[in-house]
Amino acid sequence: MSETVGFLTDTTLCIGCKACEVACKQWNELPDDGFALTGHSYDNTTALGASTWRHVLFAEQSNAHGIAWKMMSDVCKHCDRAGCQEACPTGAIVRTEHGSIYIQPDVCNGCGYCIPACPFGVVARREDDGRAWKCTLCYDRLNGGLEPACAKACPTDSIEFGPLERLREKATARVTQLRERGVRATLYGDSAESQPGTGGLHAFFLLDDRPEAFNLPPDPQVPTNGVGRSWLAAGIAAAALGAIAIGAALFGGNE
Amino acid sequence: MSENLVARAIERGLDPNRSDSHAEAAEQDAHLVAAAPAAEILADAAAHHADVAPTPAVTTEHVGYYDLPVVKPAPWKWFVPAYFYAGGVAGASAVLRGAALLVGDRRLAKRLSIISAAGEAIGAALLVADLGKPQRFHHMIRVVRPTSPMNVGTWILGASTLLGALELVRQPKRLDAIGVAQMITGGGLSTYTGVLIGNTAIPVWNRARVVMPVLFGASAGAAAASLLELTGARSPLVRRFALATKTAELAAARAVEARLGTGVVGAPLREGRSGAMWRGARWLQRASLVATTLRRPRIAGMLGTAAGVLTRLAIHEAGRASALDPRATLEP
Amino acid sequence: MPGLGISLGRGGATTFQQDLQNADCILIEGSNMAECHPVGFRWVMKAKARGATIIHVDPRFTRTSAVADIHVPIRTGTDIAFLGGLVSYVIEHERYFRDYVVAYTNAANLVKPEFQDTENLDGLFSGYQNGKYKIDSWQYEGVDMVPGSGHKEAIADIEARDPDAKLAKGIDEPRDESLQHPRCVFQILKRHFARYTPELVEQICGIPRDKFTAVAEALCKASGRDKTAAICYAVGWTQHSVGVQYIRTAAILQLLLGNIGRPGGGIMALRGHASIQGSTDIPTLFDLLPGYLPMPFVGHAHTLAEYIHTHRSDSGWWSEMPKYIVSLLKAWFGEHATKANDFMFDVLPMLSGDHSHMATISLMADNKVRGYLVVGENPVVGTVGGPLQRKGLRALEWLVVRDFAPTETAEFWRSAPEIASGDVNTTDIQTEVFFFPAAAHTEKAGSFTNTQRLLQWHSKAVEPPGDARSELWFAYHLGKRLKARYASSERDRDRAIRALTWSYGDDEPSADAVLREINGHAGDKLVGGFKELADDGSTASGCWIYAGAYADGRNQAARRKPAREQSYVAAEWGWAWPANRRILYNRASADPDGRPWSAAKRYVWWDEAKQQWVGEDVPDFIVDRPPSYRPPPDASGLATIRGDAPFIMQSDARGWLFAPSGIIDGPLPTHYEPQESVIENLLYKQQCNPIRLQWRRRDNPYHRAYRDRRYPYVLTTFRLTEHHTAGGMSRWLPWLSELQPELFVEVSVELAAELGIEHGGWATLRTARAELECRAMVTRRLSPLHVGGGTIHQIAVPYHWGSIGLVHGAVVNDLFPLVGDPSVHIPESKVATCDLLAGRRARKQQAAIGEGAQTPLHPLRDKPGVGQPSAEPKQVKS
Ligand SMILES: Nc1nc2c(c(=O)[nH]1)N[C@H]1C(S)=C(S)[C@@H](COP(=O)(O)OP(=O)(O)OC[C@H]3O[C@@H](n4cnc5c(=O)[nH]c(N)nc54)[C@H](O)[C@@H]3O)O[C@H]1N2
Ligand SMILES: Nc1nc2c(c(=O)[nH]1)N[C@H]1C(S)=C(S)[C@@H](COP(=O)(O)OP(=O)(O)OC[C@H]3O[C@@H](n4cnc5c(=O)[nH]c(N)nc54)[C@H](O)[C@@H]3O)O[C@H]1N2
Ligand code: SF4
Ligand code: SF4
Ligand code: SF4
Ligand code: SF4
Ligand code: SF4
Ligand SMILES: [Mo]
Repeated sequence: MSETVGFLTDTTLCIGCKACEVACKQWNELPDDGFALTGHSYDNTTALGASTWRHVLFAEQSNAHGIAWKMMSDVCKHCDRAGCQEACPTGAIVRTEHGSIYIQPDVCNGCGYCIPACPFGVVARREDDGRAWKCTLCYDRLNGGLEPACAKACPTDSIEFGPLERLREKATARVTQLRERGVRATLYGDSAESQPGTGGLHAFFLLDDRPEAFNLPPDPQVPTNGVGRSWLAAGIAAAALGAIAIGAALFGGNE
Repeated sequence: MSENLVARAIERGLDPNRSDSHAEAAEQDAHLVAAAPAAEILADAAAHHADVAPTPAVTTEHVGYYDLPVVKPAPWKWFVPAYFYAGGVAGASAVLRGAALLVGDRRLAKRLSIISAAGEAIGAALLVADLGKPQRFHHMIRVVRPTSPMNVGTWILGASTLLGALELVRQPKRLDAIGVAQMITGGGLSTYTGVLIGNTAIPVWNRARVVMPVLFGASAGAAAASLLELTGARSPLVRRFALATKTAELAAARAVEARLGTGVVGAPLREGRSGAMWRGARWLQRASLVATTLRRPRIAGMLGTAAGVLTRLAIHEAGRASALDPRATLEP
Repeated sequence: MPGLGISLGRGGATTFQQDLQNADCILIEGSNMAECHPVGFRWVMKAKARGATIIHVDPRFTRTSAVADIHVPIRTGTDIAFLGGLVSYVIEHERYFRDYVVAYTNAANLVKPEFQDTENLDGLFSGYQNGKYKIDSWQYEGVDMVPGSGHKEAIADIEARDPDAKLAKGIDEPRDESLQHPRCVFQILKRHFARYTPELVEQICGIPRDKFTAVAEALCKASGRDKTAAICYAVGWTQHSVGVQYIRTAAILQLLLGNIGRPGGGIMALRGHASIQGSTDIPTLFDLLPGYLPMPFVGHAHTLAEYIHTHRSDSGWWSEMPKYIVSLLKAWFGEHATKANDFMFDVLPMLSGDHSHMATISLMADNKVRGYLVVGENPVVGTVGGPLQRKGLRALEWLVVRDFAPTETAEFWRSAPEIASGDVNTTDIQTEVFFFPAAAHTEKAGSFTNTQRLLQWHSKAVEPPGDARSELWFAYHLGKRLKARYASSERDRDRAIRALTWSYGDDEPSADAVLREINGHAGDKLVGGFKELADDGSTASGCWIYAGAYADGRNQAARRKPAREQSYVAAEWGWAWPANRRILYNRASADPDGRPWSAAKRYVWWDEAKQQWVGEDVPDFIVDRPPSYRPPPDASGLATIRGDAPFIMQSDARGWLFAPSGIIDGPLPTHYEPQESVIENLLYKQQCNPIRLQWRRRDNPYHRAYRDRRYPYVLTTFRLTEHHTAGGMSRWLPWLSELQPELFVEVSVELAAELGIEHGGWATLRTARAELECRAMVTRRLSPLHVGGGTIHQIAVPYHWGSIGLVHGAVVNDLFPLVGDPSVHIPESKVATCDLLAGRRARKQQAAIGEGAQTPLHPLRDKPGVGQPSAEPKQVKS
C-alpha cells in the first residue's frame, strides 16, 4: 500500500472561484445539475451529489460588526472509518492503496444503502445509471502520477493535496499563524482525537467558523458505532418472539 | 456535543448548551474577518463597524447552511417498506410455525410454511426491484460483510428462504433440527431490518437503533398474527399469539417514542405526513388488539394488517423527513 | 492606456502579478480581482500570508472583499475624490518619499504663470475653448511644449504643432528642488488637492472618515525605503467619462509614495481578454499604429517629415521615434518603401476625426456605414446602447461575424428584444449577415500578450472542426484576394494594397513568420531588439516594442522554463515587452546614486566594478550610463537622459505628477460627476468632464445630470467568475451555466424593504433607454451610502446574459447610453442612474429573455433528494 494521501481544505484561503468544482466535472465528465437560480448567495449547485463531487459553499453572514462572506470547497471526506464503505453490502466500496475510499462502478448494484450511511451526505445515486457516485480522489490521476484535478485547479492553494501526515503538520502550523493574527481558526476532522466519530478524515478542513455554518455535522458518527448493541437487541427480540410463540403454543391449553 | 465542539464554543466564551450560540459565534467571526489582521491599522475601521445595521433576514435566519439538509435520505421507493412487511411476516410465521409443530398443530404449521415461503419470495422480489441495477442483485452475496446489516440481512434472507422452501416440501410431523434452524433464521429475518435502518446517519432511525429491532420483531409477530386472523386461521394459539405480539408491538412503539424524546430528532413521528401515518398505525393497532380481545378475528386481522403495513411506511417516511431537516443533525 | 503612458512613459502595467507577493500593502480598487483574475490573485493571497494588508475599495462587497482586510464601500464614479483625498493626506502629513519625489518626478519643475487651476475657474483648467483645451498654458516655464510620450494625445487639438516650438528636454528647464516655489508642480499639486479632505471624501464618496484614514495609514505605513505598496485596477476605473484621470490619480499617488519601479510596488493594470494588452500594443484601435505610434491626422502630417516633426521629441527615448515609424513602413511595404518615396508614408490612412466604436455605431444608425466586420466581439451584448447598436446593424448592407457559434450580434435579426416584442419585423431587415466559424486558441498557433505585457506562445493542439478557420487564415486569404484583385490596378489609391508585403505561407499562414516580421530584421538577419532599428530604411519591424521577441532567431515567447527552476522574476518564461523587462522603470528601485533604497527592496542597481546596471531584472535604463551622468546643455536624443532619471520614455525622463501634455482633459485629475448622477458636483459648477464624449440624439436619451426623480438609484455593472463578458464563451457551457444560471440584480436589504422586493423574486430595471427584468439578489453585501445627510442606494448587475446559449437573460447594456472618455473613447459602462421596481416588467420582453428566466427560484433539488442530478442530466460530451 502506497502512502496515505488526502486533502487539507483551508477555508480562509478560498476565493469561491469554483475552479475546483468545474475541474472535477471536466476531468470526470460529469453532467450538470440543471440550470436554476437558488438564491443561496452564489451557490447554485447547493450540495455534493451524484454529479457534483466538489461543491463550493457561500455563507453570507452579517452582524453588528459588519459582514463576512465565507466560502468553502466541500468534498468526500474519505473517512478513516467510512460509513459508506462499512454499509456497502456488495463490497463495491473499497479503501484504495492511497488510503482513499473508492466506489467500484462495475460492482455497485445501486442498493442505495451507502447514501443514508454517510454522516456527511456525500454519496448519491445517479438516476440515469442507477449507481452510487462520489469523489474518487481522482484514483485514475493518482495512479498516473497526477495530483487530483480540483487541487491542481485551485489558484490560492485553498485545496492542498499531499501525504496526510505532512498536511496535518502544515494545518497545525497554519492554525497557530492564524490565531496569532486573531483569526479563530480550528481544524475539522484532522485526527482521530478531534473527531473520534469518524476516526479522522483524510480530507479534513481548516475552518474560521463553526462547522454548522458550512453544513458540517459538529460531531459526525460513523453509523456502525454501537451497531453491536443494535444486533444484540435484534437477537433478544428474535428470542422473545420465539418465546412468545412457544408460550402461546404450550400454555393455556384449549379453552 | 463533542469534546472539540465544546472546546470551540468555550474558547469563544459561549455557553455550549445555548442553542443561539450560532448567531453569537458568527458575529464574533464576522468581526474577526473584518478586524483581525493588521489589527492596529484596522482599529478605526473596526470601530466604525459598530454602526452597521443588525443581522438581516436573508443571511442568518436559517439553520446551518440555508436550511439545506446535511445528510441524504435513503433513495428507496415503496418497495423497501413493503419488503419490511413481507419479510417481517415471513420471519415471524417461520418462528410461529416451529411452535405450532411443537404442539403438533400441523394444519397451522402448513399454513404458516406457505405464508412464510410466499413472504420470502415476494420480499426478495421487492428488494431486487428496488436496486438501481437489478441485474446485479447477486453482488449482494459476493462478500460476507459483518459491518453491513444489509449484507448480513441478505444472507439471513437467503438462508431462511432455502429452509422455508425445504420445509415446504418436507412437511415434517414434528419439530426437528431443521425446523429449529428455520425458527432462528425467521427470528433474524423479522428483526434485522431494525438494525439495518438504525445503522444509518438518519437521525430518527439512528437514535432509536436499539429499540427499532424490538419494534420490528414485535410488529412482525403482530403482522403475522393479523394475517392469520384475516385468512381465517381459527385457533386459541393464534389468538394468544396475536394478543401477546400486538401488546408487545404497542409497547415497543412506546419505547421508540420514549427513546426519541420530545426533541427535533423525534419530530417526524409526531409531525407532518410521517407523523400522521405513525399515529394512524398506532390507532389501527390498538383497535386491532381490542378486536382480537372481543373475538372479532377478521376485523382484527384487517386492522392489524393495515397497522403492520402503515407502521413500516411511516418509519420509512420519517427517515426521509428526518434526513431533510438539518436541525435533526446539527442541533442535538 | 494614456493614464499610465503619459504619467510614466509606457501604456502598460508597470509590474507583473508574481511580484505582488512582495507588496506590504495592496490596494485593489476598480477591480474585482479575485473574481476576474483568480489565478493572478494567487499572488495577492501570498502577500496576505506574508502579512501584507489587502484593501478593496468597491461599491459592492465581493469575493475580493471577502478575503481583504479592509473593504471600503464607495459611491460609483467618485474614485478621483477618494484617491485625491489620499494624495492630499500624503502631502499634508508629509508622508511622501521626498528623495524619490524630488529626484524622479517633475515635482520641482516650474509651470507657466498663465496656468490656472480648476479651483480658480470653477471646474475648468486654463485653455478651455469651445469643447476642448489649448494646452500652451500647461507647459513648463521656459519652453513652448513638453512632448508626451508619443501618444496621439500629444497634441490636444488637431492643428499642427508650431514647427519651431522650443521643446522641453529635461536639461535646463527651471526647477526648485526645495519644492517651495509657488508655481512648482508640487505646490500646484498641493493647492489642487487641498480641498480633498477626509470630510469632502466622506461627502462625495460616502466613505466614513475613519475608514478613509485606515486606508491612508495602511498605504503610508507600507511605503518608503523599506516597504512598498501596489495598486491593482481594472475596468471599475477605466469605464468612466473621466476614466483616464482615475488612473492618473493613482500614478500621482504611487509617485509621491515612491512605489513605481520597485519590487512589491507599481500599478498593476489588470487587463481583460486573453490578449487585450496585445490589441493595444499592435492596436485594433482606430487612432494608433503599432507600438503606440500615433495615427497621422489629416491636415498636418502629409509627409513623413511633417509627421515626425509633429510627434517628435528632441529628448528621452521617444526621440528615437523616427526609427520606429520608418521600420514599420519597411515591414509593411518592403522594398517598395524607399527614402525616395518617403517610405510610402503617404499611403497610410489619415484620421479625419473620431472613428471609435460608439462614433461608428451612431453613424451606422444614420445609414452612413455600409458594411461591418465583427471579429471576436459580441457588441450587441457587450457594448452600451444595445438598442442603438441593433438599430445600426439593421441599417447595414452586410454584416460579417466571426465567432464559435452565432452570437446575439449575428442573430440580432432573430432574437433581439425588439423582434421578440414585435416592435421590429425580421422581414423588414435588409442586412445580409455572413457567419464564419472561428478556430479557438487551442486550434491555432500564436501568442497572447497578457495583462503584464508578457507574450506567451501557444501551439495548435487540435485541428479546427469543419469550416472553422483561424483569424490569421481569414485575414491572410482576404488580403491575398484583395491583392489579386488590385494587382493590375493603375489607380494611385490602390498602391498600398499592391505594395503590401504579404507572404506568410500558403494555405494556413505561419504565425511564426508573422512574429518574425513583428520582431523585425536588418537585411535578412532578425534584430535582437529595438536598439538595432534605424531610420534609413536598412531595418524593418512590425512593432518596435516587440523587437526582441524573436531575438537570436528563437521564438522567445515560446520559452517555458518553470519559475521553480529560476528566480521568481522568471525571465525565461515567455517574453515581455519592452526588452523582456518585467518591472518597468526599475532604475527607480535604486536611489539617485544607484544604490538600492534598502536591502529589503533591492532589485536593480549600479555595479561600480562592472560599470553597468545589474539586478534581478533587465535594467530599464541605458545599461552603461552611470548615475553621475549629466547631459551637456546642447545634448539631444538619448544623450539627454540623466544618470538619475528613471522614466526614460518621457521627454524629461521624469515621472509626471503634472501632465503638461498628452491628456486632453486636463494636466491634473479632478473630480467630476458621471454623465448621470444622483447628486450635483460638490466641488464646482462644472458637473461632468467638460470634454467627455456625448451623442445627443433622440435614440440615445440621457437622464438629467443629477437628481432626476424618475431615476433615483445609482446603477453599476460587474462580472462573475462563472461567466465571461458577453457570454459567448460561457453560456454554451453546462459546467459554467449551472453555476450562474440567471441574470440577477444585487440590491441592499434596506432598498429591497423600501421597494417591497423579495429575495429571489422578480425585479424590473428601467432607464430612458430600456427596461428589463431579472431576479433580485437581496444582500447585505450592498449597503446604502450616507452622503451629505441623504441616503444613496446603489444597485449592481452582471452583464453576461443574452438570448443565446444554454441559459438566457436580458441584455444589461440596453440600459446604458453612449457616453465616453475623451482620451480613449471607452464607454461609461460602469455607472448610470436608473429606476428599480418590484415584480416583472410590464411590457412584453419575456420572449426575448427566454425561458431561462422562467425557471422557479427554488428548484426541485432544494426539496427532497438534494444534490441528486436534475431530471434529465445533459451529458456533457458532444
Ligand atoms: N471570470 C471572468 N474573468 C474576467 C472576465 C469575465 O467576464 N469573467 N472579463 C475579463 C475582462 S474583459 C476584463 S476587462 C476584466 C475586468 O475585471 P474587473 O474590472 O475586475 O471586473 P468588473 O467586475 O467588471 O469590475 C470590477 C469591479 O468594479 C466595481 N466598480 C464599478 N464601478 C466602480 C467605481 O466607480 N469605482 C470603483 N472603485 N469600483 C467600481 C464593480 O463593483 C466590480 O466589482 O476581467 C477579465 N476577467
Ligand atoms: N455594462 C458593461 N459593459 C461592458 C463591460 C462592463 O464592465 N460593463 N465590460 C466591457 C469590457 S472590459 C469588454 S472586454 C467587453 C467585452 O465585450 P465583447 O468582447 O463584445 O464580449 P465577448 O463575449 O468577450 O466577445 C468575444 C467573442 O469572441 C469570441 N471568440 C473567442 N475567441 C475567439 C477567436 O479566437 N476568434 C474569434 N473570431 N472569436 C473568438 C467569443 O466566442 C465571444 O463571442 O464588454 C464591455 N462591456
Ligand atoms: S464522507 Fe461519506 S462518502 Fe465519503 S468516505 Fe466518508 S462516509 Fe464515505
Ligand atoms: S449503492 Fe453501490 S456502493 Fe452504495 S452501498 Fe449499494 S452497492 Fe455499495
Ligand atoms: S479528487 Fe478528483 S474526483 Fe475528487 S473532487 Fe477532486 S477532482 Fe473530483
Ligand atoms: S478552486 Fe480553490 S479557491 Fe477556488 S473555490 Fe475551489 S477551493 Fe476555493
Ligand atoms: S481564465 Fe485564464 S486568464 Fe483568466 S484567470 Fe483563468 S487562467 Fe487566468
Ligand atoms: Mo475587457
